[in-house]
Amino acid sequence: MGNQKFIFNKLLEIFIIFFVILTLLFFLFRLSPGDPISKIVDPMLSPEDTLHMIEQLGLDEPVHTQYFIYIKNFFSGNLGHSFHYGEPVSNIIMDKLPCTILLFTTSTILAALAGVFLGKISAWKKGSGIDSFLSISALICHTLFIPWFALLLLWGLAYKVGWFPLGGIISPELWIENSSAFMKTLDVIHHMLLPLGTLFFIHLGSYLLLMRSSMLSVLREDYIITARAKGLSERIIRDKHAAKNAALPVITSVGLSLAFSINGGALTEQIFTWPGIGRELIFAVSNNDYPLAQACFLLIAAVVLIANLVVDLLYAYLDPRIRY
Amino acid sequence: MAILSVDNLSIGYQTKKGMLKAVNDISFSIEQGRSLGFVGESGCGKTTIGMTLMGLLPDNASILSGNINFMEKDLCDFSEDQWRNIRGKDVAMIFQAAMNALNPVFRVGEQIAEAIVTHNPAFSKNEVNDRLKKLYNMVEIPEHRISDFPHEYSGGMKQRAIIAMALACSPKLIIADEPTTALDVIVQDQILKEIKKIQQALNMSLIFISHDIAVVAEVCEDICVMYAGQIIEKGSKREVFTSPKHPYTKTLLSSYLSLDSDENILIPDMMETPDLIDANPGCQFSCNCNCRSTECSKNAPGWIDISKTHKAFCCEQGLSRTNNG
Repeated sequence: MGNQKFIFNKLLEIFIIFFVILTLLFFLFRLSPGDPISKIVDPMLSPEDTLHMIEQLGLDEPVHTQYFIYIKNFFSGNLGHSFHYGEPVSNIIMDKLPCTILLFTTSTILAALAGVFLGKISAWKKGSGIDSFLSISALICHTLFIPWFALLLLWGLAYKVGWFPLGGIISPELWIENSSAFMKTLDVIHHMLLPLGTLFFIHLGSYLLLMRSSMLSVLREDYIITARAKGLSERIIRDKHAAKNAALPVITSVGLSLAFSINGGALTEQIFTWPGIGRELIFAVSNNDYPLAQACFLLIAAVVLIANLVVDLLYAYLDPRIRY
Repeated sequence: MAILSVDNLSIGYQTKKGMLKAVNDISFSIEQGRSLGFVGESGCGKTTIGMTLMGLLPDNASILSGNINFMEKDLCDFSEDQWRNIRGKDVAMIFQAAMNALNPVFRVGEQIAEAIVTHNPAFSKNEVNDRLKKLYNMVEIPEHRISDFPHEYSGGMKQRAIIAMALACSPKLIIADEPTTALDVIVQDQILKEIKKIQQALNMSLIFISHDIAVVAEVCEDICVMYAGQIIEKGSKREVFTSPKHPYTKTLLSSYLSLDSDENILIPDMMETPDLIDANPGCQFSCNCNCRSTECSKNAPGWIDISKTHKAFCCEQGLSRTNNG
């Protein structure tokens, strides 16, 4: 089967790329300014104790030995201990990852669906008032500066009007009181709406514009006239014949934009104090928490690689001309 | 009784420079089971006629005057809903398959089935499948290719599939717009024979549009030669071929290569294209006609009957002078 071979090759490729990233990250962190020792070693300690700690951390070993220890540890699932938390990094990651996945996948999927739908309408009614409104709104969304927009939402809707909580993911009192699962879910959704809205609008603009232009070029294709000549209704022509073809580039874009959405996501998480990976990354980098930052970067790399694989497979599923 | 009769039809495109008369005062009719060919160069209005008969004119085009009478209904007053009811059912179009006439992401069988289901909503799945198989047999594509995608078809097979799509609801009138232009000559010949065979077997009327007079001659019984939005000569195939009267028809026929004659090929100097926005009051062909007189660009030509079926849109001198004069 061609597809199985393709997936195997792709996985191999992903493994190799990941290994390269792993290596690059190792050296990158050793090149970065700032001294990890000063971060974790208490200046009050005696020089002997300091030396002892450095030995314990393996920081006195030559770089290549450090590298092999690093690789060995990684493949045995040991990502090191966070300097700041003093906990294994994998525990912290596992703790934060679900929050990020929840926020990112929900916002990306919603933005893609809405972008495809609105872009389709906009192209179909090209030149109308709806089209102008949607295109201009999309352009505004596309050019929004995330921190500004996020702060505006936070200030307006959470601080001034008070419809939404100021940050976090849960209201602690609700969880202490042992409320029902339904109430807890509602609470999380309530907390999620503002960061979700921020990411949704940021992505919506580009998806909408892409779908619109893609749809416009598809509508000029001959098979649209063929469909009309069969006597099909306009709705079937728009939703079936045109939209399926037009949505293909949007899917690619969704996969690729995942890589770039991480930084926007980190800012959003930071502003709404959403306990996710992005916020942890900002924290780790600004505090020289190397093991934690390293793990966050690796995770982002893994997400991008996997997203690309998923897009490739999805594309083959949707476009019959593509077979691996 | 003619199944379709078109009287004094004019169609214009609204352009930035003004109204472009792509089709100017044309009349023709076609009986059931007959085949009529439209020949002419690019831009002479033949595709516009085809699109008008399908109700698929672009937004900037409009019918300026005239009547289209199809199965005793006036198509000029048709609403979009009424058009949708006859499109694909009573009148169908065979497109050029080399372009993207088939949607690349749907199976060919599914696309043909759509045409059946749209006009026969009561059909069961089996009835649709039976019809689909029948159509595939008719156009000679193996049945097992029904569930293939367009990109898995060869050019000739795509064209056959397009024909099957047009035949899906056994229409009364089929419009074929350059259906074989992009195919190689062998496949072209097969497809033309196929179209002709099916048209005769099902007793349908056929309007065949092509720039290639040889192709039209192979399929059609009657021929209309078009120039600059007007029909300038019409008659049976034999009449137009053996005794062309209009100077344009003569140049068109003489521009054909012949392998077994050493005759110098007459590729005429068609330097000027008539302006269709600000047309001259006289004969549109007068700027290129080598039989013209000074009167030609001032006075409009008239229809001259050569026989009961054969007519030319010219003036007496044009018909009497020889082509190389």
